[in-house]
Amino acid sequence: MKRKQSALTIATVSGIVCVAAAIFAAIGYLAVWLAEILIVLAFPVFVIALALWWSASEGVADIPFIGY
Amino acid sequence: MFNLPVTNIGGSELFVLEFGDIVNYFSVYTAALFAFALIFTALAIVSRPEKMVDIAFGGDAYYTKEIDPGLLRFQRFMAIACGLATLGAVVSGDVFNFTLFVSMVGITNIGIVAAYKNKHVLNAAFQYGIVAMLATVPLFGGAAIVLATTGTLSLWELYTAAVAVPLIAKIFLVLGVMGEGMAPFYIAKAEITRAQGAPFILMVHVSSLLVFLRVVEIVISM
Amino acid sequence: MIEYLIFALFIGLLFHGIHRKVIARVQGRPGPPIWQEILHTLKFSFKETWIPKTASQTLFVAVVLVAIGIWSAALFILLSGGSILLLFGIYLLHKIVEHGLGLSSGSPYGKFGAIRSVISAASELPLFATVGLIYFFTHSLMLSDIIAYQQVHGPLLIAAFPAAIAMYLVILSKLHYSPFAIIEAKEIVSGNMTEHFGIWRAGLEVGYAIKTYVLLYAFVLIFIGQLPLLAALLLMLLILVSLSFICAVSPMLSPYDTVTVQSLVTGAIAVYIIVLGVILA
Repeated sequence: MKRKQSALTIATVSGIVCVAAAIFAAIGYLAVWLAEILIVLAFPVFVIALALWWSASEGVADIPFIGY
Repeated sequence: MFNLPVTNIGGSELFVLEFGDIVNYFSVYTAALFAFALIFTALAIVSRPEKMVDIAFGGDAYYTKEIDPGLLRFQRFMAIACGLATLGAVVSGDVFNFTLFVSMVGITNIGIVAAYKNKHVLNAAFQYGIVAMLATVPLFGGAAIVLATTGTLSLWELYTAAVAVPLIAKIFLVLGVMGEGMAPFYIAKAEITRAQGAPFILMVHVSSLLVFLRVVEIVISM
Repeated sequence: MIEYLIFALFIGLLFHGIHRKVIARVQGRPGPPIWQEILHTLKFSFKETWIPKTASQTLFVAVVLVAIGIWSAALFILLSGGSILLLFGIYLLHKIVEHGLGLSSGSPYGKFGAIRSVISAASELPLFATVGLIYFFTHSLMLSDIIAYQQVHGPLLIAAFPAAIAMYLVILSKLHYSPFAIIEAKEIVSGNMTEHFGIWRAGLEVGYAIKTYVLLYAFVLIFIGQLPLLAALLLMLLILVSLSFICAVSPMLSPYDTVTVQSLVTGAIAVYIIVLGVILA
């Protein structure tokens, strides 16, 4: 449960960084190359953290399959 | 103060790092290479090696190989040294410094690979060592020819249109880098990947590819 | 900026789906729907995931991040008209990603994939020849200059036709199911991606989708020039379909044969450069 929370936090923060960088670059507050670097750094983290968030289980774990 | 003479190859100059008359420069291109070398050096510092799994031939059994911590420590040290040498090579603003760093990459690469007790791996390391040693001849020879014909080793001078670098010096430099880094020759070095320690073995390839990329930039710009 | 990245990601995944569809149709199978690869990536991202106990954990995860990061960077280089030498550099760095993927898990299949990726180092040589030949014509490696050159002198596709073939080969060797895709051949399970399951695989699919988009778009930009987005997409699709035909009708080559073919192409271009630069000049 804690992991799910932290994954969500990371995904949100990196997602906001990506979108904010793009918006600020578009309206001229941020140099384009700086925005590009920010997105390059934040986007991979966003993808993985987002997937970690929605793939993490919520409740009690199932008994793992231990082979035939 | 400084103006990179050639900006249509590796992008514009971002900033320079001055050591007396040796002026390292970060263009878009070299800064990108630098960043990448930095990432993988950091990875070599922080990550633990993998445990290699082997399949017993002709059956379903598999086992993990044993790893000697002492050898791993040496391998990690060599990988970090290799990363530092790569960092130097990719931003160097001087042909001689570049060749020095590249030969140091070659030496540390042998160290990374040779830190594993396996006949095949040690054989490969030995052969690679011979190639690397032989390659220092064209590498430093190339730098020497550059100095002899143009009177300077500074890339800032060599990049200007006024200075013509002979083709043979360029060919020698590329040949030297190809031998020092393993890039094109590691076709013959698949044995190397039998060695343990993925983050460190990876450093072999990171360094050789990055110095190769740098020499391409240098040779085209000169 | 981010919107373009996500656009490229989905178009890249769609291209992968179209690639599979065309291959299936050529081979007389119905094939999956063209949006299959998008669903595929989503499916992977919902799966339960962990890191294998034998893996080098940091590297195992970091390589996936690097894969997405470098191709995002490559896309931005294309958009901002940066240096194609840097693009070439990123393509070489992709080799390190492939290699790291295979090595980091400790699995023998991954390791085989990694070794094959080392062997197929020759797949970079054609790209190097491409860069050399383009520099010979344009005297600049900045994409913006190459585009400007083509507006004056017409597409490089005609002037530097061998370079176009070399780059075509480069794109082909990185596509799924291509005759050069020895690193993910099925006789070594999934090659270097064997141990990257679940969300790690989803991350890789994301990176590879951007890669496909970048390589195809780079081909259009370098050899044909700046086009309106829709026309460029159509052209990329045509190139992709032609590549799919090759993938559909050719078997996977053996590792050393791939090296031979790629080295021969590079040699041919080197000869072409020498003829142009030394004999005719």
